[in-house]
Amino acid sequence: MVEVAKGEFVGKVTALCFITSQILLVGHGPYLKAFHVPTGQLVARELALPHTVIHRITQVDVLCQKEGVFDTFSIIVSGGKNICVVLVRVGDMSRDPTSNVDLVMQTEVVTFSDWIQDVTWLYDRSDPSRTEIVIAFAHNFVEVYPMQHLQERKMLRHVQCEVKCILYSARFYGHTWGDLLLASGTVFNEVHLWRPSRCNSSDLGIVHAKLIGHEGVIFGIRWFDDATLLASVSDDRSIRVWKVTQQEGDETPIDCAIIWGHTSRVWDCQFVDSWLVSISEDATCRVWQNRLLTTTAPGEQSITRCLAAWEGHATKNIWSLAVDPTRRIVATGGQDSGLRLWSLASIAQNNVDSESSLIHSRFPSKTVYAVAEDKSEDTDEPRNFVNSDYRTIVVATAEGYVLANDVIDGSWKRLHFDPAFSNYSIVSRSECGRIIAVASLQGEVLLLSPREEFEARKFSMHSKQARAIIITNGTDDKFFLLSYAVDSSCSFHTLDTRHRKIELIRTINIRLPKQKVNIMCAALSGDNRILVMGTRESALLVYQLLDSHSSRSPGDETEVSPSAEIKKAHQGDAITSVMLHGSGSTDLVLYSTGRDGAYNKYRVCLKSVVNTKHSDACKLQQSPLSNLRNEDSWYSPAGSLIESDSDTDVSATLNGAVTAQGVELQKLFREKVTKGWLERATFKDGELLLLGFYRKRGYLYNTEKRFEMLTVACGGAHRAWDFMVSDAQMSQTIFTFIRHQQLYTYVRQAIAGSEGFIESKLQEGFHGREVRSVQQLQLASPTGQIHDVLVTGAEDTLLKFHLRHHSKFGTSLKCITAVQKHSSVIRCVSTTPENQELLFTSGGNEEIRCWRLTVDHNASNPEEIQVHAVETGICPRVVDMEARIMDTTVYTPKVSRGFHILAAAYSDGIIRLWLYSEATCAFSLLAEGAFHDKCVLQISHCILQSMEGMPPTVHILSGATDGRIAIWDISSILQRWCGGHIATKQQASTIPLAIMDSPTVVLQHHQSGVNAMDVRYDASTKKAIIASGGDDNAISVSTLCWDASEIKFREIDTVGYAAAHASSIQSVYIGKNGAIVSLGTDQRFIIWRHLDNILCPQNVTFIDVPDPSAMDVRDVGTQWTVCIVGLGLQSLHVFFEH
Amino acid sequence: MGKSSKDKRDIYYRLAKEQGWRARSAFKLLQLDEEFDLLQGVHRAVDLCAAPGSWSQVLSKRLAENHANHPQEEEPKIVAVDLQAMAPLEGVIQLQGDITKVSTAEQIISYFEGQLADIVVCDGAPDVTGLHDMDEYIQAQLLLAALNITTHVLRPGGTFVAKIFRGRDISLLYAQMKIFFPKVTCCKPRSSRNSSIEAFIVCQNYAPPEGYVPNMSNPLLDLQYNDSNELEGPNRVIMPFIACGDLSGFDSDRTYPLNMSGNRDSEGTKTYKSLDPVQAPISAPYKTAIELKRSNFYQKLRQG
Repeated sequence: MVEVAKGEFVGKVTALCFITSQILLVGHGPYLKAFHVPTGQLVARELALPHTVIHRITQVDVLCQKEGVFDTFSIIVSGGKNICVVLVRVGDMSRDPTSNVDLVMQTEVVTFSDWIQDVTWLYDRSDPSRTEIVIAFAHNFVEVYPMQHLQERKMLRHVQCEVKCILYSARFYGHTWGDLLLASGTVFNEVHLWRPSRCNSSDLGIVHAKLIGHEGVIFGIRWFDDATLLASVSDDRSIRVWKVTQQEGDETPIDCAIIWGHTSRVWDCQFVDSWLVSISEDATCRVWQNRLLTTTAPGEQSITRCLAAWEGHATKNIWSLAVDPTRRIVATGGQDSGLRLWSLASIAQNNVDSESSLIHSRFPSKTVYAVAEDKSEDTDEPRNFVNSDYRTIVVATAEGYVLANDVIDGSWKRLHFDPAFSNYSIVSRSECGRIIAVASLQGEVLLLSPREEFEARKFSMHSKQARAIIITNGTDDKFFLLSYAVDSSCSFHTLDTRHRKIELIRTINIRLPKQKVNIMCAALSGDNRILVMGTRESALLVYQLLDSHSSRSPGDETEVSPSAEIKKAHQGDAITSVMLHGSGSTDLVLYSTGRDGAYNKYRVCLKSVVNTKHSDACKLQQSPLSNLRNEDSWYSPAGSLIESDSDTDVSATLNGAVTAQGVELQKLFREKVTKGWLERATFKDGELLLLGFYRKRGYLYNTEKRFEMLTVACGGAHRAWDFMVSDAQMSQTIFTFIRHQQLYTYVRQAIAGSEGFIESKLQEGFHGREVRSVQQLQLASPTGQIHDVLVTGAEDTLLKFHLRHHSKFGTSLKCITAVQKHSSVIRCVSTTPENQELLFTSGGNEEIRCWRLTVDHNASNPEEIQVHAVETGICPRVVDMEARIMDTTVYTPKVSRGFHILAAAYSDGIIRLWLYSEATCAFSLLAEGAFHDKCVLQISHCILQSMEGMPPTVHILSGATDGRIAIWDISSILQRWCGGHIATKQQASTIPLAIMDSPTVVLQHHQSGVNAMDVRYDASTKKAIIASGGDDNAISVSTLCWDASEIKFREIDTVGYAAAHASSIQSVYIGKNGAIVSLGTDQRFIIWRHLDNILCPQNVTFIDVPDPSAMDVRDVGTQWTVCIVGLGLQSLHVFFEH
Repeated sequence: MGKSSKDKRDIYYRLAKEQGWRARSAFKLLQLDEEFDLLQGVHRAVDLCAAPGSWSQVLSKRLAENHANHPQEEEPKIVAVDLQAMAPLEGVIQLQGDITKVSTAEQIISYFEGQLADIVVCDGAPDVTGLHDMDEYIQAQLLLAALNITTHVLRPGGTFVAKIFRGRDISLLYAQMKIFFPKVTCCKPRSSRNSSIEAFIVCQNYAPPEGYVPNMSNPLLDLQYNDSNELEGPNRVIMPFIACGDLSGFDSDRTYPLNMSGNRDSEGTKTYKSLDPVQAPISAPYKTAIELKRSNFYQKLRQG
């Protein structure tokens, strides 16, 4: 006897419904879940539609009522051809929300004859018990059933539409039979409107309007509240909003607004007052102005404004969308299993159009701030300002005062007074706002701290009118200052602010190019060695600063000349900001913004570094993965592909790059973002944000998510403005500008929870695409405790580590580490049973990587653990980029510690044996074997201790698309290597390449691809069992015995089961107890008994994960934990009884 | 993906261009024919969902060979049906129409001068959304629509070949096909990638149930699991499977070097030149979106 129970499920979120603004119902595979929105807690979970994906949750408003302390809601859950009715009972949520929501199944699952596209309810005002359910089916017909007797499928009405074709979508409007309208989204790209109550003489529903214009099938339809508008979304990537107010029968074409903007297919689009909210394959949720509801001024473009683009789901597809009844919260469900909340309320905040959203700073009378000795009665006025934090403006006045204005409480305070700074003063700040510089007409620079962290001090730096730029690099006590004057003198100062005093440590004179330049901006690399400046004349200047370690006296001045220069970096327009990112010397990247409306990205290459990298590459046997794009980079925006070397040379020449002293700027990327100006770039939470001005507005644009995060009607590009933002959520933002000679400020201080929720992530995201490999690891932490860690590798190129988290409502996964190093799909993760801390990952682009895993207790919470994956080695590429590693197996020879043999199945038909050395972190190719002449799909190994005291024989098993399994004896190759290794201690890299002997046994198990294979050797009987699953739906099991005289395996017998699955088999496993399990694309998991040369299915379990492609079994005698991955993940617990 | 990158990854893509097929899928029908002798003695063939026309090319070539070997027999006739127009093909009559319409069936029969077809083939597939259950349902409906028109135009004893997705409910489709064809086989040509969910259903010896009247309004859709074919459990009906195509031929999953059969340059070294596809891909629903992208629309969008 065997029993199977389902464990955690991870998969796409396909249906959402807010029954109140506090309770969100979620369709997650076959499960119906309830979340408490304010706290973000999962509060109920029920298996609603077994074997079915829930596609729609419909609330029957007319049946919602109060029963004592409970609020009850009737819900219709549908998916595929199935429906069930669920009662949601909500108690006092102010107590423990997790024990106050019940999901009560009111019916069993009712199965209908066709695919369900929409469900709604019809009501009888006089008798709620006569509520009916009306269903729209994919073959464009409608059926009505009494809600009370749904179980019996007692049909009341059936109306077929006159247009007979398949629907991809449908949406009802109305709740009485006479009013009921259906919008049918046909496979022929049209939306048809019809009333099931109005039929022609053949009893077919009459289509009274056809909405024609989409260029692809219709994936989703929504009605506006009063049915005057309809939104449809399509394969053609557009959203169309139709005015459907005309009389039925009116033939004039229907007015429609087309919204382009999603970069992939659109799945749904819902009306929310004057806005539209849409979800797409491009993994964004966007909010649009509904142009048909807003009057556009003449001359304004007919392009619909995108008000927000929310991107919190991984890689691909947001499948579901719901808006709460108060219209403040949007919920989205992704392919990645993620469930997110977004604040609609915040959007209005981010479009600042009226003066009422701004703070006007009235300049105070002089009595508020004047020093006692200043008796002059002239009216002072602000000359220049910066923001020093998210509520403060620091203003330099015409008379030489430096004032701080708190915009929240309106107070003004004097920071400093020095008449030397009257009439001319240029104010600048460090990025953090903690240091302010004021430069004078006489070349003096005043440095002060608005928070009074150090005493203000004036330095005489130049003899002419000066400007200053402050650069901080994170160290608290040291900062840098670039000062320059109209006489082209320019210097770079290192300053120290220890002991509440400013000291000038060092000055380097910067030699500017001969032609006149006006420096606009500057940046310094993390190691303080590279200085980049941008000029009004559109030039980028790069300087290499000398080593600052050697101590110098303040008088000891040195001078540097530019190491590289690009003259027309921004097409002759001013360069407004520069930013250096990345540490060390290999991946230093420069960003620049300009008044040409573009931002550029360059790689800063140091000559000496290039050389080192090259010699490294040679060490790695000529063809390492160093040609890959650099994934180590902290920044990998979509689309910013690094151009090839030759292109780079060309662009550098065209841009007039002058290279000297070993610095080179390679242009990687340029994007014109606006017809206006770009003024500043900043990185927040890994996202590049750009501040720009166009026409009358200033805006903050997110280059990663491609939307305007904030736009302010500030009147246009200004001589004086400043801006600070705290993070990519704009939790704290300040933007100050001058309009009509007055200071205006936009301030944003987000308060957690004010949006109706605190936790925006209700359910964690998994992989965004198909998972191809899984292992259940047991890793030891420093305390010796063993932790169960799941590792998954996927099509999205991510390697993820997860822990299982158990709660009242089942088990879920919590991702603790995600690593993106692979450039293509990860097909395989392998470890050795002896050493699970060493992990090998492999897949597309011929990549094999080795990782060392360590487990740590979280410093702040010892209950939590962290997994660190450190890449220790990369296997050289020997075929080419297009070759794929299909499978790997790892064997650790006992005699030589620290060495591992990795056998890999390559798509070019060759099996390769690699030796990995832990000491040198290098892979060396030991041997190659060619036999199949076809793509090798599976590889495994088997160790045979044939005689006491003798080294074991090691056998590799390979399976290919030719349907054959080959067994290779690699013992002699290993002995040769071990012998050589032990005898000479030579470096592994000098081992000559061996050719593997022909296979000792070949088994023709399948007609086509051997997709799955497992082997188990029983030392006591000297028999090996080899089980395989094929693309041909079959399972084959061979029994082999060890023939000691011939030192090879001999086939005893093979049993097969031709139609084991209804489609290809993806994984097989042979248990310690002899049971065999198989997993197929038909979403079935089958347990087989293998007895007396007969295979017999014992149990069939339906898997809820589509496209299942791999499994891992933890086999603990009579109890197994099986982890299955595909487009999601599901665990099974298998219990064997004796 | 670059052209030559696809060439390396996909041997049949490369071969199709070299041999003048409009799509690599031509090899699938060729290999099915090799296994089942589908086109032996065939005079009248129907290609449903024909664009871009690679299966029609195969039909045209093979039926012309038949005729050359037996010139005394009638001239071959091939009708290619698709919703969209495709480039003309010699020896193939094109019919732009909907396979769910009786009129389309009638037109096919009129092209055959009242006679019925010997074979109906269908390589059609819907746009895949990524919702696997929905995609499988839509594909099944396309197949059933093809079966439905086939019951109008196929002669008893004739053959029906169609693309299927080998997904979770494939055994239900098998049961449906068995009502009309005593011999139903699921078949995967070697030119179809191992990793692809695609396969072909080969239905032979058409024999509709006694008294069956072809009817376009009958959508043949009530496929359910029941006691004789369970969702889980011992009574699962699973159709026979055959892999076809020469095992010694090319492997669609294998990575082949580019210059294995290449030309030589002036110095005698093998070179490889990537060819253009014979026929550009058929019109995609996101055509306008692509044009907008080319004209930099998505960049301008946010400047308004």
